[in-house]
Amino acid sequence: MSRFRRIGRAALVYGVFLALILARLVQLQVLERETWRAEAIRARSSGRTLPFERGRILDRRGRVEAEDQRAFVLRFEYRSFRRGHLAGQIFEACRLAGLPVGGLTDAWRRAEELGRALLSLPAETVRELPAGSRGDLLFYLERIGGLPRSRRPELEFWAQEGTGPFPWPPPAEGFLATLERLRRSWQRLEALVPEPPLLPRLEEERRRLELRLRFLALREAAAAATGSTRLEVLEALAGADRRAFLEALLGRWRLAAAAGDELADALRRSRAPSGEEEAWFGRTGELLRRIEAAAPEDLAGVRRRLEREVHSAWRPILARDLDWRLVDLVGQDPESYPGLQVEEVHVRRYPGSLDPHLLGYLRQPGEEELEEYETLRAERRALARKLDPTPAETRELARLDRLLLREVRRPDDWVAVQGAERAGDEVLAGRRGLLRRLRWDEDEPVELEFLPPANGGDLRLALDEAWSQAAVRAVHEGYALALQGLDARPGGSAVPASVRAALARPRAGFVLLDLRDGTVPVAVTVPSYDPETFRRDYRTLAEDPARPLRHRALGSAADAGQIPYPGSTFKLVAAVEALSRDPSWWTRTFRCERHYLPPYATGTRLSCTGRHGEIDLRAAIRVSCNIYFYHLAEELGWEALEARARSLGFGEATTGLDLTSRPGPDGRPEPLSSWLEVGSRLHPPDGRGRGRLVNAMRLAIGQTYVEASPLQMARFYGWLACGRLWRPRMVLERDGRPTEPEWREPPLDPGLRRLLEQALLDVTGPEGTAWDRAFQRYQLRDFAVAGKTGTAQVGRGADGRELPTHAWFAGWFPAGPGAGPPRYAVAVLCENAGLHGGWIATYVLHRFLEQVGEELLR
Amino acid sequence: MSRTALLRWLARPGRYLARADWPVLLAAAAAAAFGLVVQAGIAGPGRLPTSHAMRLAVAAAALAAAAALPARIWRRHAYLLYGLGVAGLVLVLLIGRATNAARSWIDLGGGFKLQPSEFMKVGLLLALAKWFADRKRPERFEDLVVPAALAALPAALVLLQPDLGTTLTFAPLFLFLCWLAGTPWRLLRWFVLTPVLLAPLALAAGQNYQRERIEVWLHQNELSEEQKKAEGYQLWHAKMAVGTGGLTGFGWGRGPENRYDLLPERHNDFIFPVVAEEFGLVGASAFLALYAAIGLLALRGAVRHRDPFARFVVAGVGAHFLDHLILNVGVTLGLFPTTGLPLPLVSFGGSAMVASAAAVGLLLAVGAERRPVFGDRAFED
Repeated sequence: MSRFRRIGRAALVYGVFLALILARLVQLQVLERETWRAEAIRARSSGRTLPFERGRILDRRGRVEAEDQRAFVLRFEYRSFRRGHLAGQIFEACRLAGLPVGGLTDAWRRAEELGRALLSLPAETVRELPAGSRGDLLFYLERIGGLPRSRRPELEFWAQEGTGPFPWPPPAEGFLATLERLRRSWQRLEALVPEPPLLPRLEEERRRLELRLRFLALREAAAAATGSTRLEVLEALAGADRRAFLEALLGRWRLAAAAGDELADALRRSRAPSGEEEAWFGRTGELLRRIEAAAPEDLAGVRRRLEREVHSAWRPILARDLDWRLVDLVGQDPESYPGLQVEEVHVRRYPGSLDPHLLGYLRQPGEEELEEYETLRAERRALARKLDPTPAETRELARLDRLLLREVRRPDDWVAVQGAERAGDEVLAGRRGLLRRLRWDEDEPVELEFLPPANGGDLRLALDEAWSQAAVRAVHEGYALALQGLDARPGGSAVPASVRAALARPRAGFVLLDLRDGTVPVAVTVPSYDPETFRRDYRTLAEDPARPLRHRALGSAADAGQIPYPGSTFKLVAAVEALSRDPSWWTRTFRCERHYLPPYATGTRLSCTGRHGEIDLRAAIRVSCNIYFYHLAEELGWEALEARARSLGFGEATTGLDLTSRPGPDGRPEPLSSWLEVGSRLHPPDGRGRGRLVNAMRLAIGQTYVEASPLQMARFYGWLACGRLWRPRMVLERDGRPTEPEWREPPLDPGLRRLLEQALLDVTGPEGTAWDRAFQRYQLRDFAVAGKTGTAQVGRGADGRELPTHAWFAGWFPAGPGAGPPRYAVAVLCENAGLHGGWIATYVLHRFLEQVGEELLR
Repeated sequence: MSRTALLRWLARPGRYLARADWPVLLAAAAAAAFGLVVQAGIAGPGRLPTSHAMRLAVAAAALAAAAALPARIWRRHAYLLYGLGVAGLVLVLLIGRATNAARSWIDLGGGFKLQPSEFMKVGLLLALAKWFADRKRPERFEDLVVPAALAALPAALVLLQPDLGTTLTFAPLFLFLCWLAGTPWRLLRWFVLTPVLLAPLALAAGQNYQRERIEVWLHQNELSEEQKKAEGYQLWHAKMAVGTGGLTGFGWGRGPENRYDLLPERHNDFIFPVVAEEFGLVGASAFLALYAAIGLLALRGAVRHRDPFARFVVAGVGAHFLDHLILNVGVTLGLFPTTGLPLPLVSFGGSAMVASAAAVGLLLAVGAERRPVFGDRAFED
């Protein structure tokens, strides 16, 4: 072959390759141009969501009770900290290299010693580590040793081939100089951050994060062992075949059968209850060690994967309301404070004093609530990776983006819990915005998409802050007066200690219902709590025997001994039933000899508050004679009493209160809160008990078989006053639109109503149970109040002794001739006060009316 | 020196210049100038690619020096130069500095570094050219043992650094010179097929990052979002730069992958995507044509030489440029798996630039020499 042909053929081969390159160029630059354009737009555009401001919650007069405020918070992001800060680098490097170190604080204190030890690690030690850990350790060593980026390959080469320690730059140039600089900047920071010192707090957060990582690692291992996902593990633990699932895991991981419950508990958790962190640290550590020993493949690569997932998502707030100097310091020199981020946030503030129970609160969404978000995001990721999506896929991508932006619950969302926050969530929550910007060939990024955020609307409540404050003051003053009164009475020193203790720490509920529109201007509970510190103090609050987390005006889930039996205030239900059947009941009399032995219930001895002699209904209401109502119940029977009570709203789980329910799609109230409001309960005795008249008698005096909250009682007395059984309204306006009043009108003859009003006016008159001889100054008569006292027995305590009784007052005002139409129904419950309703509940109401009565009726 | 001799010596440059392979030199100079312009675009507005320009100046000096040496000197000392290259490779393994995980550099002090493997390419070219020129046409395997060893020794040393990209460039040069020397295809095919058949084995024995690169290359059209951010980042961004360039590109210094610093190594091994992004298909094709012209013109020049050594050297230099062009550009376009290989005269790498410039100088020097050479194979064709 001639040299020409040889060279010619070689040139031909080269020509083929060059043609191939040219064809590839044409393919990429002409045929696939649009695809790459779209890909580049996706890759080079960065979107961020724009937060909205949540609407305000206002009181009746427009005072702000809840609002979003912009504030600077200091967040801690462990991923950046461990990568960027010497303390984090040394700690993590020690952990990887197996050098003993006691956390970030220790790593920082012994930074010089540990740093030197790390920098003298021989290559042989590094080489022994698994590939992932080795890479991580080299990363930290590079940072600690202050090695320029360009020498990284040298370091890698050392780790692969080298012997002995790496030739680091002299410590004085790199490591020690950085340490010195960081120490100085850290001191500057510490001076500005409120106590306690920052680094121990970082260590605390790191340990929390580590614990979370361990919980997740356990779940991940369980998922790997059973070939499922973490979510499916949770589902399996909640499902019917939980046992089998756990046994499979126990067998695989060679754990004792007794460890089953502990394992199940650990698998379900994502954080330990406060105070139990240490114990869980030990437990999870032990479990993971056992799994590692029995089935190492279940944990392979889990830690690194989870670190990537969790470390950057874990951003707890270290300090709020930052000093501007701190904002400047961290903002202008972020390199000195890696992992600490100053962030402008919307903080929910509760500047008013309304009960936090009613306002509700916001929390971050839990894992299960984010399930939909995670699923959609995974779908979106799968679609987004396609280089050349079809038009249908592009549309689907846009749909997913829209859903992810606004329709599903996201990690940066707040979940409204209970009260006004929850009931008004649709109004209060705004819509987040979006800004997508593209880095193309302009000097400034191009705006691709801008959806402005829409702030939430305001929710105006019927609750009046000033009147509510007056009610709380009235409770405290009423209790003080009662104690004073006890001491003033002859034999006052013999007051049981339990009563004194109850009076010293009031537990009461107070409700005021506006009879013109069904709104509730006052619904207070004592004791209450501070919404700002609620989360921190939750455990203390939950364990407090005074149960500050209960709302006593709404009657939420009570402990035994605190159950709100309405006592004598309920007698009016029986009276209404009797009079509606036969108006002649008004004049019928019975004889009260203080005790009554029903002939058909041998051994049952019923008693009264006094020996009232021959007595009619009006007088029986005035002096609250039990014997009269026993006779009345004997004639009416259980069924009639129960039916009447139910028709007046007793026995309904809720009152339809718009903070605990909202109208559902069918117009019927749909429950929002299962515990904030319990409303009223009727417990009919079963079987033969229904026929036993003694049970009807107990119901007639509001004991044993009926429970009712002050709100329920106020609603009932409101009906007595004006004929309307209101659905209580706490929301006046939703985003400027007034809410509609709702009521029912169970029939009651106006003549009968007038009779009952007379009887109830007698109660507050000189002969009535609400008339107090010792404290002539505090007569409810002054405010034309008609109502009924009640003293409810609550049973015996664990020691077998009678628990202090509840004291009640329920009624309305103004009442009586010339007072005009009734304006407000009111109910006061003094829980376990141990005193008669006329002694204490009336004081509370009197103190309240004295403060705001005039304003109320204006 | 007699008067005649003096006159002849003085007349040499004239004769030399008249015989020099001007088109190759011009194409090389144009490609280098193009490279300088692209580098200026990468440096960004208001900044000059001074460092690149300095390298070019050194490379020009090396070119002039290599061109000034008479061909016979090159021929006489071919093995010596090869030996020096091998010594450099051994030295680099002993005292070299590592960059990009490979121990490829000798620190000369004052910020200057030398990459002996780049100079080795020229050394190998000379040694093989001399070996084949001095012998009969290879007919049997035995005839190829020594040339193969000549190529294998530096390749093994470079692989020890480890620098797979540079190692791979020795193979086409060896095959090309074997082919040019007249090796029959029945022999040569084993040298072509064996590596192809052994590739999967080598891959299995290879390092993790190499397997990762192959994986990314094989599945380059369905990279996950994670891969696009990690192991597939380089290739994905390179293709995005090329693809978005379209017909005419974004314009000089205006390519987003370039100006927003999205494409790593774009001043070095990945300079071609910047060309394609900023100048589009039109500019990229022009650049390819210009660069390929160096090699193709050299091949054309080689045809004129009856002297095998000169022919092998001139064609070898052409092949050197074509190999680098095809491998480098092919990698950036996703035609081959990613491996680090510079584009001589255009990328930032100084040693490659100086060595390649020296190779052009060698081509000029050897090409200018048209005296009959009475070697064993002078009149064979």
